[in-house]
Amino acid sequence: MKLTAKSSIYYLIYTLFIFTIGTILFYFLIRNIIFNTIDEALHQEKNQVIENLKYEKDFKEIHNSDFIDIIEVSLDSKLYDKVYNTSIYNYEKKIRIDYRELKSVYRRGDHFYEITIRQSLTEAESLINSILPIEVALLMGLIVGVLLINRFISNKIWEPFYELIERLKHYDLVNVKIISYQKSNVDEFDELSEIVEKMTTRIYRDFNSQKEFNENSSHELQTPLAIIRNKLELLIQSKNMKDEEMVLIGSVFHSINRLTQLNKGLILLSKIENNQYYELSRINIGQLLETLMVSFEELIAERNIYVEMNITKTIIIPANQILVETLLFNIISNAIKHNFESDGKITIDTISKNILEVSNTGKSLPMEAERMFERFLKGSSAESSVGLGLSIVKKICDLYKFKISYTSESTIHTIRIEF
Amino acid sequence: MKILLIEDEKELRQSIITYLSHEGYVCEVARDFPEGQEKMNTYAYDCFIIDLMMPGGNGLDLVKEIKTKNIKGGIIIISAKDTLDDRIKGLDLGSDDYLTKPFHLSELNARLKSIVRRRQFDGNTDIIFNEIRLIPENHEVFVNDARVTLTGKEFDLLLFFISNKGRVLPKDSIAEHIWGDHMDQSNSFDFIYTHIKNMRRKLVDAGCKDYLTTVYGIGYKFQTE
Repeated sequence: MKLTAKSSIYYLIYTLFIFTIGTILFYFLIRNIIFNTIDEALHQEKNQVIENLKYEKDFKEIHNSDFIDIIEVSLDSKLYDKVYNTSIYNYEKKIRIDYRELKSVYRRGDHFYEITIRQSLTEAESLINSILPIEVALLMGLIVGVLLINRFISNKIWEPFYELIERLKHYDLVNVKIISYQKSNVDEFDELSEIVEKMTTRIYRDFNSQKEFNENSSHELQTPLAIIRNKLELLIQSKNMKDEEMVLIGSVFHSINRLTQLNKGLILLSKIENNQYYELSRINIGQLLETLMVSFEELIAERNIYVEMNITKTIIIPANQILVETLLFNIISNAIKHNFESDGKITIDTISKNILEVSNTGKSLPMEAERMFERFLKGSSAESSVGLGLSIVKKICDLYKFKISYTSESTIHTIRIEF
Repeated sequence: MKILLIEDEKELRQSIITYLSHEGYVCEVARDFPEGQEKMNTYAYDCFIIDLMMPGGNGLDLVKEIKTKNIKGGIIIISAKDTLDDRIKGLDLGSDDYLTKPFHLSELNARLKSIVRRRQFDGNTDIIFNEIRLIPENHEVFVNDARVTLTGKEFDLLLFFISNKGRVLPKDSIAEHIWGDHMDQSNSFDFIYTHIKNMRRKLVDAGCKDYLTTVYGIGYKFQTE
């Protein structure tokens, strides 16, 4: 729920509450005032009538009308005044009309006369009744007003806020780098924007120094690695070396080579990050795969892997030749490496003009599918693997915004790339 | 055979010289750009091995100078930079080969031999070792003048072994020579083993002496005696 919608709801609940209570109170208040006024008038009328009666001998003739009744009663009990509402059917208009009546008893000698004075309530009622629609209209006006104001607020006042959110959503270190400060006319948003700028600047700086560190350290490692490797090469030429010593040197040599491979992988990763492979060309994936498969031919034959190539659709993408080669090479190489020891199968399918699927048989994975592309995560079987292959694949896919996914069904593993 | 190595890193320089001297090359060194420039303009060499990033200048300028002044000799660039740009630029300027650091000395040696061979005996580049004769252009092998059919990889292996004959070759450098270096190849060793086994069998079947010996724990050696 949007912030403005949420605050609107609270406003509306409060308004509705106050309005309901207010309307009810107001209704009774008005009614009370009107009745008081009417009652006062009735009493005055009664006093007037009684005053008049003092001088009259025969009351009936004088005062009986629509509004005043005087009748002689026998009892002497109710000597006080009584005010109440009643309704009388009007034969002319054929409706019941509400009246306010005052009943009073007047005593003259031994005779008791009941005086009833009434006043129509029609006017008062219409006054009271007209209050409700006005109240409802006001309420509606208020609600509409609140909604409109909120819309205005969200469009106008909150605009810089939503804009900032939008910019944050599209934030990445490669293209955006820093979300710069933008002045609005709200202090809080200015502050937020300022903080975001400071924060992204720091992130970018940290990212850069991290990147530089990675780059420099791997580059600086190259020379000592080369020296160690070459010295070892010279050392093994020595004629006086015993077998055990050769084994030791052999494993050092092999470790140095792994270190070199690892370092090359890291350099490749940082080069991709730095966008150093910017030369683009139109690459035919199917053709490239076919040439690549040639270099794997012997390895595939060696492990007796059955390869099924269904390159029926032509996939052509603009990308860097080296990177795409590396991408496909690593995928195929993995499909062979993680296959069964013998009699495995690899299927390469072009699903559509931009989807490639490579699946291979192989032991089920020891790790979750989502973690496949993490650096240095290795399947247990290939112990001498460096563990950078798939993260390089991922990096290349990220660079070109290819969607890559991995799924496995027991012993069938599938990598799917949407170019 | 005279070679000029222009490289600023002392340890690397020494290793390269030691390895190549054993091959019978006369190696001279230059520690930086001006020294390299001076030597190549003063003496004659069969091949130049040039590092790209050096104090005093870029190795590419030396390559350019060799070509424009028409100085004789092959050129191998050795560089820590592995960008396609540099590689293309180097080869375009007239360098014969481009090796990325770190490289195996056996690899440098093999490439050097191939360049020298191409340059020295134009037309006749056969490699002859006792009863074995290789014709690199056609990927053909003859043992006692009888043709032996080898696969592409087997031929590469044999050529690599003969280029580094008498040397102990670690499995890693053999794998890298055959596979290139742009991957971690966990299963390439078994693979190399099979190739070597097949190549060996084919040669022995054709009546060739088995020159190849296994060096325990390290790799192989192509015996010279």
